[in-house]
Amino acid sequence: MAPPEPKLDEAAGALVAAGARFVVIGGFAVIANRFVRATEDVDFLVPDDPGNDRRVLAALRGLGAVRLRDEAPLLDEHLLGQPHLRAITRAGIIDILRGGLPPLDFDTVAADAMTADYGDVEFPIAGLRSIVGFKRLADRPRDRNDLIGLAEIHGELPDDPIPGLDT
Amino acid sequence: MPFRFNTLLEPGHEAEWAQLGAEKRRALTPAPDTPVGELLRRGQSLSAQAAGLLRAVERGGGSTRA
Repeated sequence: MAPPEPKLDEAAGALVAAGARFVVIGGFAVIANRFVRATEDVDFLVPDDPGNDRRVLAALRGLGAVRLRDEAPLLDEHLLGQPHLRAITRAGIIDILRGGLPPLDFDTVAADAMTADYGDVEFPIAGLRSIVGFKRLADRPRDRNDLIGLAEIHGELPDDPIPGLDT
Repeated sequence: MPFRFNTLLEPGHEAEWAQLGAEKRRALTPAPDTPVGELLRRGQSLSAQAAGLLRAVERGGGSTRA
């Protein structure tokens, strides 16, 4: 199945409507922090909360989601207790990720988040401090390029210690 | 000790991330015979979304909540 193009407002709106807690991370969060570059999926950080997972799953099912790996209909066990779920939906490919250790845990990222206000829906999107942390941790070529782009826009970037990386 | 699920957002999961990256590239790489018009339409749509997101963040206050 060829994935539809990502639709951030539709994907996030579905999670908001389902009452799920989340923060947008990944490429759309990079764009929100003013480094405009292409992105072709939607990434959500979610808390370690089985009840929230069920609300996320309900939202994804409402978007017609199947698991990308095998196009299987979404089951609870695809997300509950799992570190990651990748689904293909009518709002594009959606990655669901668990937070890491502070400062990349859900609560810290949520506290640092900005608000995206689309008029009919508002949702949190990761702030610069969190995005820099995620990018430093991932350290793939695209992540390093994002850090260069963000530094050109914002100047010296936040440099919070990342457990296991700096400590 | 707070309850925690496993996470990939910590050092030591490079192999999993490489596998996930390859899976995503396979899913997103357009077929070689994709018409240029379709590629352009998709690119324009993504650009419009980026512009809409920047406007939405500005409406939301444009800074972190903390």
